[in-house]
Amino acid sequence: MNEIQEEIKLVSGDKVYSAAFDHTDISKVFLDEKLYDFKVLKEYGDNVSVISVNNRVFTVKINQEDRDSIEVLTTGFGYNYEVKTATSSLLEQFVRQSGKGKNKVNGIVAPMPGMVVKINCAVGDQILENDKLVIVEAMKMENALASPLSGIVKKINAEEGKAVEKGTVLIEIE
Amino acid sequence: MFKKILVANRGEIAIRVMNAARELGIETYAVYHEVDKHSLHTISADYALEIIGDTPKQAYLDAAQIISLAIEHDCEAIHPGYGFLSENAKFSKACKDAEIKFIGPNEYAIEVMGNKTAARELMQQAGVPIVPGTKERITDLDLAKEIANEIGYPILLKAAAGGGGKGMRKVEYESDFVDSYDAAQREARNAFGDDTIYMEKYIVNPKHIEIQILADEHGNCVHLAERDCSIQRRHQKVIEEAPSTVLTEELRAAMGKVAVDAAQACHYVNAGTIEFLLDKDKNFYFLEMNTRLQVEHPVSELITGVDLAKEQIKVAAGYPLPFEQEDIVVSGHAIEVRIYAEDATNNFMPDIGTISYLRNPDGIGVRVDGGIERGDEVSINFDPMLAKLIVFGQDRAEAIDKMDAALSSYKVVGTRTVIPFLKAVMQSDKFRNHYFDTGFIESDFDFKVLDEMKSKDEDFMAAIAAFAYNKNKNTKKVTPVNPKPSDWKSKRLNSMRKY
Repeated sequence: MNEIQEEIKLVSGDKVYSAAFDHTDISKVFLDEKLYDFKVLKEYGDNVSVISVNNRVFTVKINQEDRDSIEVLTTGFGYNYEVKTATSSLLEQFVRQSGKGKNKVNGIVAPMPGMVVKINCAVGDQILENDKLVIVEAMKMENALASPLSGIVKKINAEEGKAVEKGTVLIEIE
Repeated sequence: MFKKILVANRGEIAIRVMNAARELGIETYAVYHEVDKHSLHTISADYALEIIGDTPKQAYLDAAQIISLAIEHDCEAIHPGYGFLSENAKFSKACKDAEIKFIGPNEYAIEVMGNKTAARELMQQAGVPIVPGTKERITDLDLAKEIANEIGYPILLKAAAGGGGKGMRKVEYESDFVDSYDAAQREARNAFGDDTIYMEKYIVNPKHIEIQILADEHGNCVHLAERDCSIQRRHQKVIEEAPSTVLTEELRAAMGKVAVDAAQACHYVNAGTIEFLLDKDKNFYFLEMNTRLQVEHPVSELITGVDLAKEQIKVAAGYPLPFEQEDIVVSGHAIEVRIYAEDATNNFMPDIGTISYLRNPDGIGVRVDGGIERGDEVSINFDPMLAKLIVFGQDRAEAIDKMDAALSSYKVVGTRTVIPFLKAVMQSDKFRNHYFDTGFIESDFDFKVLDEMKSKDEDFMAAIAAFAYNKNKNTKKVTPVNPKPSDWKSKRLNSMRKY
């Protein structure tokens, strides 16, 4: 191993990888101290490339919208990583300590765009985890969306017969 | 033969039909909604006509608009594909009234087969075996229990207005009958506002076997053997194959004959499919008739050598069938898988997105009926089926290996697809050893295999993510932290750009 330039952590679910880079050679990555040798064989645009990793060939799409997260898409699977650098870890610690973390909304989030077919609850309702509160139709298919937690319905941000965007918090639960 | 036909559909089936038409020297007219302007079916047609609608789906369902376009452009026939207007009796009739040939059956056959009760009655008259059960709604519970004993448990209570499994109850023992009946009735009342309940024999672990038929306008009707479509999720097929491993030559002939009888009972013309449930003791029962070309038609084409889409057009043009029943010989084995943009690890949830990359498999006996190309958008407007992959082998084992290999070389990047799931099925012992029925995905398939497949390459993927992070960091444009104060002009431009 030559000079190590930077070390980062990649977090995927409960797995944490340590990655280190060779200062002099971008084609080399040390993942948990094992060497991976890269060659970009072809680039198609739209973040799709064919990459050889230790001579194994992968066709992947790599999405990196910000510095903190990377998504690798293959045929059929998606792999998501949170990137933690020395700076980002410090920052996170600071945010946690000062209580400035994002106020996360609890409730049901639309997993994809679609049309709200039915809402099975009203504001003030006492609901249980896994209760199917909203039915959203997309691609000819009805999806019953279940509550991730038990609680009381605080707000409903959807209307039957209306379209919703992906990521919309449809039902807020307290 | 026709000179011009209009294809009232989109995606892979529109392309399939246009290819067949071209072979017959016919010019092809596609219809497309604005969102399909760039779609493969639009750009691969000889002519493309825009249709409008409140939603894309409504445009493709607009019979009047499509017929008037056909008239305007002198198209002599319309092929409806599957879905959309294909099983719409009024559309078939409207085409006839406009003196345009509907490439499919007449309105009577569509109408009668589209109505569960009417179809059941007609089939019973034609001597087609139907699932034993009650024709009338259950009113007298004691009488119903008597009938249930006659049919034999388990039985299935079914809402007349049913659909999607609502108002359905399986009853194993007589002692549960009343409770289950009450529950089914309650559910049916809540879901459909109609609490009419019927009773049927519950077929335990059936196979879904369907017979392809083809009939001309001169009274000839043949069957093209069976397809086994038992691998389903949400009662929708995902994998189909032909021939079925459980049918003997005698059973094939018997089911084929019944299918031909069924078709003739409704004066059927053109291509159609009779669906049956086949139980463990090889009893078969009529399920329904699909009065159109089916998604899975290619497997029948590969084992019989008959081009169904081409024959459909020829039949509609008045040609007699070029073969008789004894000319239809089954050889080899074909398997089709549907490439859905769905996440099998998440209950087959449909996915959307841009197809950033696509590479189809090829090779001897490998066929792709596709409807997308790189750069296309998979949206919520339509069914999430991207393509069909069909393989042909000398025997079933070869076909499975070929499918497994073809799935490995299939690259679709941009949305989730069921490709890993399909690969896992090809590798599963139960599928390879023919032990599968309609309960396969729900009960027999081990979804943990998919997690194992995903984690097999996870170190490589993490390394790729790390590599990408480092590469992006190194290739990011370096912006000067302190722009030169003297360079006021560019600074001013920059500050203006902000607004």
